[in-house]
Amino acid sequence: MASIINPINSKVCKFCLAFMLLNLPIYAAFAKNALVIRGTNPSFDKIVKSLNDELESEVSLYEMMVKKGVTIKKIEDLFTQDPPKIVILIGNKAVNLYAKFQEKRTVEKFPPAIAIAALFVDTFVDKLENTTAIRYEIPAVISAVAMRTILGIPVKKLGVIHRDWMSDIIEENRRFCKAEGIELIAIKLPNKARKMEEHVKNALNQLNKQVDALWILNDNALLTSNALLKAWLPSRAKSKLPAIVGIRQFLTKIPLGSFAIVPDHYGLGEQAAGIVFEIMENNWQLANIEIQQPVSVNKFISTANLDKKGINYLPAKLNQVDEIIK
Amino acid sequence: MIKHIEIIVFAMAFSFPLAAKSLYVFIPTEIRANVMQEKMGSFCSGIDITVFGRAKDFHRQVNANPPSAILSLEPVVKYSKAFNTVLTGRKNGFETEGYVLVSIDKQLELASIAGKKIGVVDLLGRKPMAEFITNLFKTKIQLKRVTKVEDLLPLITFGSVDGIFISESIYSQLKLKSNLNLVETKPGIKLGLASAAIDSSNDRDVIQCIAAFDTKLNTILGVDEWRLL
Repeated sequence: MASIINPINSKVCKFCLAFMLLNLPIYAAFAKNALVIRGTNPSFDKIVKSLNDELESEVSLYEMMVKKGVTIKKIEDLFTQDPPKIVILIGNKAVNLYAKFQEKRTVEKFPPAIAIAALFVDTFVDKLENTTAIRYEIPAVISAVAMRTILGIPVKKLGVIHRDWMSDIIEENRRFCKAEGIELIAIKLPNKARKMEEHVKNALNQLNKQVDALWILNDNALLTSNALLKAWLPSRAKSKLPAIVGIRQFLTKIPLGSFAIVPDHYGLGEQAAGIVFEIMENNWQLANIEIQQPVSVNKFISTANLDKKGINYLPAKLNQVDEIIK
Repeated sequence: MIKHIEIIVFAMAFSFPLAAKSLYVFIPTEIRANVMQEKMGSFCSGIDITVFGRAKDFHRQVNANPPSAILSLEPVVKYSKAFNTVLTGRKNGFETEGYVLVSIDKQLELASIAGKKIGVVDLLGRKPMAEFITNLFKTKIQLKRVTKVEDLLPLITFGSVDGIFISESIYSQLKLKSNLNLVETKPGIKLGLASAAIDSSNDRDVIQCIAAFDTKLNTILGVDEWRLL
């Protein structure tokens, strides 16, 4: 039987539909899509969890894992099926893959993107269109202030060894440290050297005489097994200076320092979610591409290493750290 | 086997009333949640205490598994409508504390606060927090929410915000920690200190344990005494 559409009923239906749409929660009526392209590192799970927690009910996330063999075809497919309003890139592999996707230009206009948890992202993120980032490296000033608070002594001179290509980053860190009354004393080494361990050894010898504490960068070229065995470990064993490291294992298995200040991955996700909301409130336009510094860290302290070196600390302040290694 | 079951039933009969009393705590401080939980546990035997480090987790759990009582800052307690406030914290005789806007080098002008980026510790979640701050300042402010109190200093150090909105006690702690040229603007806003509220069962055991906290723990919570309502 053919149905007869009554024009009055039809108007009522349209009214009802409009009424229902207006009364639906905004997220249900107009779901927003954020494509998360991420590496497989388990730490990134915390970032994704945090993004989900923060964005829930306002922005829907869908995830693409950059596993072995994944190509830009996967991103192309996702862009075709469900064009995202925003892209969140987690880890260097994700950023590199998305850069290749942008190079191919299968899309006319790229949505705003945020790159996080990618090492030295500031050195290449400007090559990506419509993309901002949060640095992965923890600025020296955060670490130094945290250490100063726990040690209860003024840390006026902080020493660091870095390679030439990091000079700009070191300069920026020098500025932040200066505002906190900390002088960053940096020794620059060549980008490549046949015997890097010799350079590191000499630099450590110089710094040990000049500074109150060391800031050891996560630079594989400076932390080779040769450099560790011939320069870092012997120097650190002799030195009475506290040192800040960027990996927890450098407090335990390879005892280079007493403080490990590492990225808080959940916090990184929250910070990225904050940028997503800013972009959303700006009609999905990225107004500010300036790279942000990470604001949240996890702190680990080895009181065992401090005790061994006879470095005093304020026990009452230990309840501000995430883990104490005794 | 029967003996086994008897033991379990016996144990359950005695453990159930104890586990039924629960206290959720959310008070942002620099102290880690697990440390605070351990300290509180020593005053509250038989009460299941959970200390939350994030507003979102606290509110989610309060809704999903409502506790017997909550302990938080007054704006959070007021927001959790299913609970009645029965205990308020006091410091130097007052139940409220002044809040300040802190910036570097140059004071923020209240007349031009609208649209400024201000860092805050999240107490209520994105939208309720924005509404709460808008009501306090009577104008819309662009908020940057952080979870941990300690994250406010990096926020202001890196110029990610124009200023941060914090209690006077947190400001005092910040000045001890940082050598930045921090300056304050007093917007004349006072907010309630920590307070405790209970559910409709009106079981006051949890309140008794809070009232028994020692000076050290109270100091962490930002109060020096408790007043029973």
